[in-house]
Amino acid sequence: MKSEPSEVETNRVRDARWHPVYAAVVIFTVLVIAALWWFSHAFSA
Amino acid sequence: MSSLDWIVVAVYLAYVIWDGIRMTKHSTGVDGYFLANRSLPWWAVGLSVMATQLSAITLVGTTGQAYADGMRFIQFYFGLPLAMVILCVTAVPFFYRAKVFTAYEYLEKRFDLRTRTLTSFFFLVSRCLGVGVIISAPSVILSIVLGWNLTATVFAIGMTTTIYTVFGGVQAVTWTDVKQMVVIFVGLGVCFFIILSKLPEGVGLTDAMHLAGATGRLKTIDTSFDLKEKYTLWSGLIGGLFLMLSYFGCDQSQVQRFLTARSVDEGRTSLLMSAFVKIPMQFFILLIGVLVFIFYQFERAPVLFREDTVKRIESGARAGDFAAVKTEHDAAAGARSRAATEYVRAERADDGGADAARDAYLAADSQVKEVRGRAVALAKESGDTTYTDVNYVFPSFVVRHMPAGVIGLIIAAIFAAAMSSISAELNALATATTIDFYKRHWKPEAPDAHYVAAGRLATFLWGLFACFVALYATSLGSLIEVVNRFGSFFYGSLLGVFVLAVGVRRATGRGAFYGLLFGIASVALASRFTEIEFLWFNPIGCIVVVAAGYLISLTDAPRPAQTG
Repeated sequence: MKSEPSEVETNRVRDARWHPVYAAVVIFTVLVIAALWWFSHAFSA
Repeated sequence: MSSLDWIVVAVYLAYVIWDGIRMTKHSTGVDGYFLANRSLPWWAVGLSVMATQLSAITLVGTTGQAYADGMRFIQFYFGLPLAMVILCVTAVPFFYRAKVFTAYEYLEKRFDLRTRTLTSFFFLVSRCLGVGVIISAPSVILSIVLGWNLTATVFAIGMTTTIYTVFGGVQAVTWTDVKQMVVIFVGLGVCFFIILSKLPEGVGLTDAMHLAGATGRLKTIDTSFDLKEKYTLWSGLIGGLFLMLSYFGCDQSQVQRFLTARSVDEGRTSLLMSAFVKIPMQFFILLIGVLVFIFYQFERAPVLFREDTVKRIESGARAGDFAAVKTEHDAAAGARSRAATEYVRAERADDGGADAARDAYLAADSQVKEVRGRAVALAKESGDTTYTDVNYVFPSFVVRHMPAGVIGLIIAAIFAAAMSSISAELNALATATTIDFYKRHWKPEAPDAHYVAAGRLATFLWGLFACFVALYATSLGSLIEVVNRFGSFFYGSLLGVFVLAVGVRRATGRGAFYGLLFGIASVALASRFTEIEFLWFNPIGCIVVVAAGYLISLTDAPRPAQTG
C-alpha cells in the first residue's frame, strides 16, 4: 500500500493560512512609515 | 568609572551567569538542550529574537550614526514586518512541523545531503568569524573609552557568555536574553530622561527636535530610487525584506529561536512581536543619538571622540597644529551654542525671526563641521588612514556626562546587547556542528547524553575560538571585511535555496546545490564590478538561485511526489 507523501514532499503546510493579525501588521507598518514621514517634515526647515 | 558603576557591572555579570547556569537542570536530552523541549512561551521567544538581532555594535553604532548623520538608518528595518508575516505563513509551520533541529536539516529532507551540508558549512564559516567580530567591536570600544585591558574585556564578554551557554543550552540563551532585553530597555530609558534633563533651561524636547530637524538629522524617509544609496525607502522595503527573510527564516541563530516555542502559533506570535516592536524600538535608539547631538550643541563636544587617537596626535609632530584646531573648534562650538539658543528663542517667539536664526545656526554648525574635518584629517595623517569615531560617540558621552551608577547600568546594557547575540550564535553554531555534522556524518547512533555532551563541547570550543578571533580581529583588517562581505553574499543566496524548497515543487537537489553556487558567484561579481549597495545583494542572490536552480532542475527527472 502506498503511503501519503509527507508535507515536506508535497510542499503543503496544513496551517499556512492567512490571519487578520497579518493585515494588522501591514497596516501598522504603513502607519509607522507615514508617521516617520510626518515626523521628519514636521521638524525640518 | 566609580565603585558604584563597577558594582552594577559585576552584579549584572554575576546574575547572568547564575541565571544561565541554573537552566542546566532543564537542559537534559537533545530536545531539551537544543530546543528547550519546544516549551517556551511566545513572549520569551519574541524577546530572544529581538535580543539576538540587537548586538552591542548596533546599539552604540546606530546612536553614533544618528549623532553624525541622522535617522536615515531606520529605513533598513522597513522590510522586517512584511518579512515576519511571510515567515509566519511559510517558514514557521514548515520548520516546526518538519521536526528539525536546524534549518539545514530540512534541506536534506526536501533535497539531499550535500545541499544540507553545504548550507550548514557556509553558516558555520560565516558565523564563527562573525561572532568574533560581535565580541571584538564592543571590546575595542570599551577598552579605549574606559581604559580597560582589551584581552580582559574580550574574555569578560566572550567567556562569561560561553560559560552559561555551555551549561544551560538554548534555555539559558532564551531566559538570559529576556533579562538582557530588560537591562537594555531600562538603560536606554534612563539615558533618554537624563539627556533631556541635562538640556539647558528653556530647551525642551520640541526645541531639540527643531534644532535636529534644521540640520537634517530627523530625515527618516528618502524616496529616491538609487541603487548606490545605502538607506532609502526602497532599499529598506525591497532589499531589507529579502535580508530579513533570509536572516529570520534561514539563519540558524534565529530559526532556533522560534523552534523552541510551545506551538506553531506561539512561534508565529514571537515573530510578530518583532514586527510590531522593532521599528519603534530602533527609532527610540536613534532618537537617543540625536539627543546626544543636541546635548553637544550646548556643551563642549570633544573635537575627536577617540582618546587614543588624540594622545597619538598630541605626542606626534603635528601636536601644535592639533592644539590650534582644538582652540578653533571650541570657539566655533561656542558660537554654535549661542546661535542654537537664539534659534530656539526665535522658534518659540514666532516673531518672524526664526528663518534668519535658523540660517545663522546652520552656518555656525557648518563652521564646527569644517574645523572637525581638519581634526579628522590630522587623525588620518597620524597613522589611522581610515579614522572614524562614530562608534565612540555614545560610550564616550556616557562616561563623560552620566552620573555614577548610570554609567555602570549603560555599560551593562552594552554588555547585555553583545552577550545576547553571542549566546544565540554560539548555541546555533553548536547545534549545526552537532546535528548537521557530528551526528549526521560521524556518529548517527548514540544516546541523548552523548549528543548533549558533544553540544556542550562544541559550544565551549566555538566560544574559545570566537574569543581568539576577537583578539586578533583588529589586526585581521581586510580579512574581517572579507568575512562580512561573504555573509552578505551568502544571505540572499541561502534564501533562494529555501524559496526553491518551499515554493518550487519542481526543484531538485541538484538544482538547489548548483543554484546556490551560482547565486553566491553572481553576488560576488555584482559586488566586485558594480557600485550597488549591499542591501540589494539579497534580492539579486535570491533571484539568481531560484532562476538557475529551477532551470537546472528542469534537466532532472520530476520528483516522485509530483507523479502521483
